[in-house]
Amino acid sequence: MRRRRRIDARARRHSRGFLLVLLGLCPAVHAVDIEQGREIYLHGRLRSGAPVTARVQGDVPASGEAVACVNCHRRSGQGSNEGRSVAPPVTAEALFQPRKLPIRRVFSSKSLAATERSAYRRETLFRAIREGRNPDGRTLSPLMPRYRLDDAQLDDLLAYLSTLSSHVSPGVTRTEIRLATVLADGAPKRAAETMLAVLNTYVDTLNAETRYESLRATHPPVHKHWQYGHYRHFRLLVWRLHGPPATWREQLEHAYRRTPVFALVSGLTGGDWAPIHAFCEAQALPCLFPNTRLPVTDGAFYTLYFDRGIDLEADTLANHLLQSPDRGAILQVRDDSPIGRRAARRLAERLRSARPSVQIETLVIVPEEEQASDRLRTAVADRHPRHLVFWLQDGEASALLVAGLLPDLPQETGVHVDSALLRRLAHGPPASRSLSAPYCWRLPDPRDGQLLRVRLWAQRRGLDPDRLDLPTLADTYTALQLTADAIRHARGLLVRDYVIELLEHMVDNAIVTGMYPSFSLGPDQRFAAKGCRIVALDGPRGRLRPVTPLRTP
Amino acid sequence: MQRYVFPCLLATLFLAFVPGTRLPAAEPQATGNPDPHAHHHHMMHMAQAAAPRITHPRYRLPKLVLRDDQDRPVDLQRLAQGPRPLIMNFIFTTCTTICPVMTSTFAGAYDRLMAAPVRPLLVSVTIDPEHDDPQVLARYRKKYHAGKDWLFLTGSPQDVRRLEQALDVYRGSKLNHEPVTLIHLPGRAAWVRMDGFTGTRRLVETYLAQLDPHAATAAH
Repeated sequence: MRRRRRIDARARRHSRGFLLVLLGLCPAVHAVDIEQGREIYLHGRLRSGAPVTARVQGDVPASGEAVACVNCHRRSGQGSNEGRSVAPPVTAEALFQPRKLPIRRVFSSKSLAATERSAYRRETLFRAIREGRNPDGRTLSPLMPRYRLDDAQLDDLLAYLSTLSSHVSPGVTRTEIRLATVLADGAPKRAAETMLAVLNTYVDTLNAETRYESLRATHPPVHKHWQYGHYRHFRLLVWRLHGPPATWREQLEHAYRRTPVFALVSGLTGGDWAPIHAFCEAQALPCLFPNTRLPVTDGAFYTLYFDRGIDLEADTLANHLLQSPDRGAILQVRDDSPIGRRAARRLAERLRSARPSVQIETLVIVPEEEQASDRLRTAVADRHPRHLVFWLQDGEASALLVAGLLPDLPQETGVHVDSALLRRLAHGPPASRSLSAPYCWRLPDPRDGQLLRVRLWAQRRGLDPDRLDLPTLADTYTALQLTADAIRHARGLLVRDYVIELLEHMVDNAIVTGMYPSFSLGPDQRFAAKGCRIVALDGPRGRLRPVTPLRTP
Repeated sequence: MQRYVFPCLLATLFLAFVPGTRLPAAEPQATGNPDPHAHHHHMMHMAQAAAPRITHPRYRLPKLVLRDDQDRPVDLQRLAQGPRPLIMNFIFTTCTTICPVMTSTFAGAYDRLMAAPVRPLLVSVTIDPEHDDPQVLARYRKKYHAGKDWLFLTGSPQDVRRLEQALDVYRGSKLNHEPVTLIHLPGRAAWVRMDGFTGTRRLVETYLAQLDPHAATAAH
């Protein structure tokens, strides 16, 4: 009793200036500032810009970003874990309920006490944040900072906590969860058919292969309610995009307004991805592993990409060219495709920033044109480049152009193409000389377990893997597998931020990783495959030979 | 206690009318179990120790060359030969729970360690070398105002994994990693391994105790 009065007195001192406080009325009459709460939670600072200060591990002072709650408790407020260190959920819903394990009888009461606790109230929560003690008096983990925050600031923080994971996200009903994918008119036909076949087949299989989960959801065995209570059907929508990319955003918003979805999974445009990326960020919609080589690298939260696409290839090639001992001129040949424009710009930028004296020129051609070949030959004859780099839209015309030129090039000229063109040329007649490319995928190998696995899956589901585009098959399957796993793992807590955080955590242990030899994410990481290498196509059998090891450029 | 109910109600009502804090068109339903991972947490919590455990294992560093945050090569075997003792930990820059504490601990202990009779070299090795290249490490060290006697190292994924395995810190996915600090004195076969969070005081004390000549015999 006396102790309580002591705490009340301290609370009153903290809230000085409030006559009402002195009268014993509630200290939270100050207008709650949810923006301040957000600043504290996400950035570890006050609205004034001053950093929040705290102590960690007893004697380690820390402040600002280092002690921002979001670091451990995450945007969703659901917490996180690393090794054996656990940060529990701090949503208002979780805090103001007692924390009890779903199955209790197998644990001793002493061990239960280590995790369970009674519900927090405002007073005990403030004590926890300032002094590190839970409502039952137990000391919190030394990892939890002990903050210097006054009552008003803590009320602001509490107001913000009340907004975290407070609703199940749109696109979820009692019985179903809706996912959408995106398909633009200009997408390559075979890849488009593959993607749709994989998505539809996977979802159909998932929904069919139930052991009456839908019934179990309504009448779960009493000891498994917490596991089965959340079963839902998956429903897949295909959002088709027509016309130029500038119109896509509006089409997406229209489709979303008509039928909100929980997340966007996979997707294929054959070109730009930026309008979709912007739409996802604006709607706070998770967009999970699209099939694109043109990702957006602006540090956004909601889109997870396989890799950095053509930028990764250009960076890898830039490093390779910089490391070669010769300092000869480089001639880039690009077309007017999004890939061509972006790759050429990126390579030139990287080379020039590392070596300002580099001689690099860019020629723009249209591979389909009759004069393209002549223009190219003239340029090569004029400039005698030491290295010739092609950034062309994948297609027959590009392949013919390059293959036609090869026999007439001096042996010492290095010829480099992008990975898509390399694969196309590898399937063509044997080249008269070698050429190389930055190649970020697994090397083709009929014994590759990963790719065998997806082919077998397709076969068993009645799809003919030989008629499908293998990279799209592998990547689309991976995207949906990871999404479904994360949704299952969320156990009914279908909040978008939380599902993104689950993916950040789960990807390192993923069994299927699409076309990528090395696949990993972490908190706030958005590109799972970071490595790439230079590969050469030589010899009559069209085999790809690694020239450099796989590394992050 | 009663006087806190009213303001909380007030705050909740207030929040109900604050725009922008709710997601659009949400279907109304409870989020059900607000802590679906309580079980996991419990199991992990039971496995956790309170104070750092100190042991004296022997390790052999593999031959490999890592790179520092200026992309300069660093031969770890050579470095371990001396003359300076090494204090090592393992971090990755996107780590949110353990590494900020480990790095803050090194930062908090730095001055006192540099004032010791024998000045050590602090070494933080990234266990996410694909993401943490030298530039990323340079930004990370700046964030913590790391002094010049504190190295941040990266390398090829294969080399980093070999190092982790040699020093028994490899736990598969980087998200399984645990707080470990290693102290190595040149010429001494046994390392000092601190499993758990050390705090600055205990780290400095443990290091200073190693400099005590009697510690050399105790560690063997």
